[in-house]
Amino acid sequence: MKDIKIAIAQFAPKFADINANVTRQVEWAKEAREKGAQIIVFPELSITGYCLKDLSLDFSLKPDSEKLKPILEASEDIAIITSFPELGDDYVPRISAAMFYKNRLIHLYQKIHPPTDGMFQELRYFGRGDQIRAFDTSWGRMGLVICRDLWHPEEAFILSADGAELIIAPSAIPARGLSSDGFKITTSFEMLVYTQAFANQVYFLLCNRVGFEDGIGFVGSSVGYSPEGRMLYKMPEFDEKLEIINLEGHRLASAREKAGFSRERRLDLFEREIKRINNA
Amino acid sequence: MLDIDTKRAEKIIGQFIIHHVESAQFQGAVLGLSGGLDSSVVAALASRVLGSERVLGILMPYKFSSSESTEHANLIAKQLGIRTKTFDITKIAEGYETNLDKLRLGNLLARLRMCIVFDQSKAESLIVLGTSNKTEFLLGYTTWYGDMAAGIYPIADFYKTQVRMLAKHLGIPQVIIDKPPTADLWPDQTDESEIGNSYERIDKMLQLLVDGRLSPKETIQKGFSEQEVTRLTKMVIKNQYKRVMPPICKISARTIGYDFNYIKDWSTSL
Repeated sequence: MKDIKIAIAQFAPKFADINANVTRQVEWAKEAREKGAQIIVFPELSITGYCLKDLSLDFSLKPDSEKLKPILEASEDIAIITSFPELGDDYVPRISAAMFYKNRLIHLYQKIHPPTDGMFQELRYFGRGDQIRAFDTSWGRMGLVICRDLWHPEEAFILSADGAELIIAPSAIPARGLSSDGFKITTSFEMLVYTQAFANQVYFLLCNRVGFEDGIGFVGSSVGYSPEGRMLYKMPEFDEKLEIINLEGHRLASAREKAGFSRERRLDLFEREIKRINNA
Repeated sequence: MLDIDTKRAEKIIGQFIIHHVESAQFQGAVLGLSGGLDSSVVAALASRVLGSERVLGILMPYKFSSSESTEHANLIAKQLGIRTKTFDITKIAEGYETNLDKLRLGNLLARLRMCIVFDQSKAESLIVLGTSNKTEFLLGYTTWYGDMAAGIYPIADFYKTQVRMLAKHLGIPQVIIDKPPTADLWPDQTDESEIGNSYERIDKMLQLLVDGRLSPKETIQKGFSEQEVTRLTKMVIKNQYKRVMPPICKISARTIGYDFNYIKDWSTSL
């Protein structure tokens, strides 16, 4: 992986206002580029807002939609990773994240694990993806996961086994579980990001949204870790912020030299055991 | 277990209030100021985040209201520097009926106050802040379409004992924190004597039952009597009707609430 300057946009979308969000994302992308960033990441469903319910289908877009064109154009000199409800060829909306660069769609990822428990109803409104693939970029091999996917570490494991050096997780995580030492949910995703960066020896960057929708406050607190398990950034709770991070490509080699976790992987063994469990 | 990080609580509630004031283009916020803990806390949270000049507190005494209530409402308003208006509701209530039992009178006063607060909301373009807390919501110890009526509920996910923690953090006058909570519908009325248990015990049980999803049996094993747990769970169930939109008889292919589902913020998305 080359050295990368990457902008994490802890962004508060305006609910159900695609034009407003596209306009602001283009502005943020310009600002990030002026500060030297080569990639900018926006949170999950930041083009539309999160609690879409019956708007899910109405607001779903094809990646080549006219409404996303300003994003596509702004991607001429900065790669933009953003997220929207994506209308599939089967007319089913899915929660997707796309990387645009030089006016082209580089990669599209459809969320694999839309939560439908507790306060979440995603499978009521969305379909789900069924591909976990790393992809090549000008800077290195990357992978995308979205929000709840983070709670399924096997996904980052597969991405890193597929060669991903950098995994990016756009998310929309609501604040919840306030105790005397803060929100329990924040501790949970910080540990997951750390563990998955460290155990897979990859850069792992979470970009969580902020802002309110009805009574739900998205907690922000975006966090990223290096392949050696070093915290790269931790953003504020609830406030918007654009943070630019320097990723050093050589860290991947030095992490893997110090510890052999990624070499110790037993993909063949996993395949056999998973087949056995599936067939039982 | 009920302990909360009050600084974070203040931040999230502040952002919640700001979001709803700004997205719906209100000028500020209005609430009924009773001189009690809940309305004092909500007034303090709102004035910190909106600025005191954008918060209006309404005092609405009735002839049986204790003078202490008015004193304390003025005390908190003065401390926060918020504007107040006072409307005595005795005549309005008596103009309707002079011979009501305690419960009907209590409900009537709560609903008259609601009318005034909502009218002031319209008059000055202010969002109505509800002051209900999680304990009274769950127990149904609140008047439907009375004190329950609001534009938003800043503290309705905090148990009463947690509201007290917030009050300490916000520097609410000790005299307001220390006095026994009361609906102040008749002299010497207190919540705890009416509900028949202390907020401290009620909140601990509710947290086990509601947040912890323990069964009543498991809750009893945590050191509560069968009688108090049974009484509490019955109150929660019996008052579920107050916590939902009234049922609509489904006739059409698409009915509000069943298969016409949008969040409130849809209304401010244009």
